[in-house]
Amino acid sequence: MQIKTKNINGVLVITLEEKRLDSRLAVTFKDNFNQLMAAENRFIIFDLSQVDFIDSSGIGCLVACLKLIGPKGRLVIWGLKSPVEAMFKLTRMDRVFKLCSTEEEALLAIGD
Amino acid sequence: MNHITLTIDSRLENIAIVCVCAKALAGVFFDVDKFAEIELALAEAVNNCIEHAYCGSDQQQVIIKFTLLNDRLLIEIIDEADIAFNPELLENLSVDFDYDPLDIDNLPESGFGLKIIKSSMDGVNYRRENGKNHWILTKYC
Repeated sequence: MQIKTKNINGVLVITLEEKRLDSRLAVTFKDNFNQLMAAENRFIIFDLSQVDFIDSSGIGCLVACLKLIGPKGRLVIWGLKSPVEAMFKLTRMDRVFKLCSTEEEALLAIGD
Repeated sequence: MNHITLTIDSRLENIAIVCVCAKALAGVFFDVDKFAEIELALAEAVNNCIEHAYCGSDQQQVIIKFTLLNDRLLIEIIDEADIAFNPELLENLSVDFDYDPLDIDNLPESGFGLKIIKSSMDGVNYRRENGKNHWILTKYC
């Protein structure tokens, strides 16, 4: 699985460089995220702007990440393409996650 | 009528390939949003065969039959798992995603697949026949 990370003023930005976040990748994604959490990162931005498709396993692993961050951290997601955004709306996950259109917007949102 | 049958090994990485085939066959007959629903339902249905019917084994086979009619696409997904599905669960399944979005600790991490399939397609049918599970998904153009 291809991911890229960068730190912006204490916020960890994780870019998923994959076209699909699905059952094939979900377990690996969670494992990678667990390792990143071990470094005490609690303010996280997921950049999903390269993802064309997400299934229920992908949604499930994002929920697992949210739980792992816990109440003292924050998770913001940006860059949802139309089919991915539709999946968030279908499963009502658009009410669970803070969703933004750009990285700048996400950085502002995580500081609110 | 256009008809294609695929047989895949029950490996999760094959699901994306099945979706590419579906797009090649039927993509031009549906608008972008409708095809996205088809791809989602198809991926969830094949995933259910692999993860639930075959309990994650990658040594089995899944057959996917696409039939493109004038007004609809039929997708039949067949597995030979010993485990049969209870069709009453499908009939009685609510497509509401009913949970408290503010209760983070109790958010569901799984169990959405069948609801997504039912929400995304115009018809979803199941039958057990000759020791095989048959799922038939219908989407009108």
